[in-house]
Amino acid sequence: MNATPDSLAQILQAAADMQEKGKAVLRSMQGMGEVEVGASQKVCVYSDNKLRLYRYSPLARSANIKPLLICYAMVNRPYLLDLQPDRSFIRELLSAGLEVYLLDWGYPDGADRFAGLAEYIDGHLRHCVEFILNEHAIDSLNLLGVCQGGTLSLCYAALEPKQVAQLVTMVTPVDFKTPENLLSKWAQPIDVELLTRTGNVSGDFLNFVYLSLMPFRLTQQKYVNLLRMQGDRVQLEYFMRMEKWIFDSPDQPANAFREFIQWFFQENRLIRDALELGGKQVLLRKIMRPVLNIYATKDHLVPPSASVPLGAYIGSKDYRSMEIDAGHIGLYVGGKTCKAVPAAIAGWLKERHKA
Amino acid sequence: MNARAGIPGGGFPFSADFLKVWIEQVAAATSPAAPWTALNDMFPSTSPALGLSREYQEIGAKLLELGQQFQRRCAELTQQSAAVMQDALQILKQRTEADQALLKSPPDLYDEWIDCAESCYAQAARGDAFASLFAEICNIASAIKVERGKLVEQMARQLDLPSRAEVDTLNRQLRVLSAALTSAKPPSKKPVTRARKPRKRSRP
Repeated sequence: MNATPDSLAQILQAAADMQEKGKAVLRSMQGMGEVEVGASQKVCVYSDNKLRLYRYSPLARSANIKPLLICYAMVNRPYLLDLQPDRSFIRELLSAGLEVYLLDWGYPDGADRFAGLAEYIDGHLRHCVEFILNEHAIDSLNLLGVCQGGTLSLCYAALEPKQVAQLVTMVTPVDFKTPENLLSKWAQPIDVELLTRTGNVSGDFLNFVYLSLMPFRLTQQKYVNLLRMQGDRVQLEYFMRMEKWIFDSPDQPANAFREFIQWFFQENRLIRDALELGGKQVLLRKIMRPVLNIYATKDHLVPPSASVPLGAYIGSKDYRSMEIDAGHIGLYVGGKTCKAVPAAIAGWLKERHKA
Repeated sequence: MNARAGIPGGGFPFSADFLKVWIEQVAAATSPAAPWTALNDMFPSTSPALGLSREYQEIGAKLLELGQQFQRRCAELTQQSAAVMQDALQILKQRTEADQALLKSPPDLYDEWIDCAESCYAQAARGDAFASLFAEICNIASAIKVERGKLVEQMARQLDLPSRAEVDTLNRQLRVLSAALTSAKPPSKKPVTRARKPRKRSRP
């Protein structure tokens, strides 16, 4: 690299400018305080141990279709879907007239270490579904599964196909052993029995693994970009909300985590018809109702190749996949996608409901 | 003191004498792995654990062995990371030679560096060697946690504090009891627990 005196001067000037911008950003951040998350009104309608089931207050005239239950992942907090008023996936669903419920798994602790996947899927998720069915006096609802929550939703829909009228899966891993799946590559040689022998798996450990997928972008460039925001308060608040969400990762109940890694990542049981939960076989081909499968092209956690195969394994003939040009998280909070994707989901649900 | 002749401090690990000898050995060494190799020299880890403190000796020896393994794997990871950085620098050099404008804009140069580093890292991270090393580090760390847990368990028992094993036993018993209770109840349509409705405030 040949740097001339002129270019060196430019570099030094730019470095000085960056330092000034950095000072402005830090000044703006100093008075910011704790950021608030969760933009929409909701009420807890059912609880069991750490689990909470929330019903969101309507924002528009009802579309008169079956209520939608969102099953979020256990590895992160669900407020990502309702981060702030202008970036709220849930708000858009409500604006489309949907009745929205959200299942929040909470923060598992040492008392939950022996709870297995059967307890979460065939127990907690089942109780939430049955609660909503009873409340509305209906025999089926619409289910939307997010990421790992999508996998859990697939399992439930396979166990109780008649209770799920329409299923939406978002960035959901189905085939856990595709070559593009870096998490899966790393998970194969992990002794997960040893990892979980001393109890729950900490959220910090999971975050370390996620950061390790793209360490330079996620631990360096992101913060350098923060300095480029020039103290814009709205942008900074959004940044801090995301920062809070990213590192607000619940510990994972040891037994359920072990089962998830072994059965899904290491043994790929879901697509091999080899998964059993509480003695019941989970067969994807039993899912006969309409399914919408949404995946993100730039997803570094769940690559499209892990989600796309779903159509080949379910029994439903009414299957549609939707490719979104976004990343794993950007799908929910991206300026355009956080509006367009819920609108597309609401449209798909309404269309099928009429049919 | 001849450390190989036994554990300094009268056979009880981590006494003041023991720590003094260890600090002296570490201070005299130059290798980053010195704290572990010094401990290995001082502990008769190859000889069988005997006597009153044999359980502690076994755990200590295992922890030392695991600590050394961990240190070695971390050193390998550092080497792999250094190779990634070298490759990334080479690519960045080629890119700046092809586009001199990059040198005039530090933000662009920085972004280019991140692109190079991330792409080289991704290539390495997808390799079998990296995945295997990553897993080994994770597995060794888990094993260390298991051994450390054994030590804490013993200490808790000595101090008559509730240990993890006891809490787990109670947890298991509660789960069995809870399952028995659930199966004994007649099936109900609605789930058992419902969130309480917020109380209305009474008017003053």
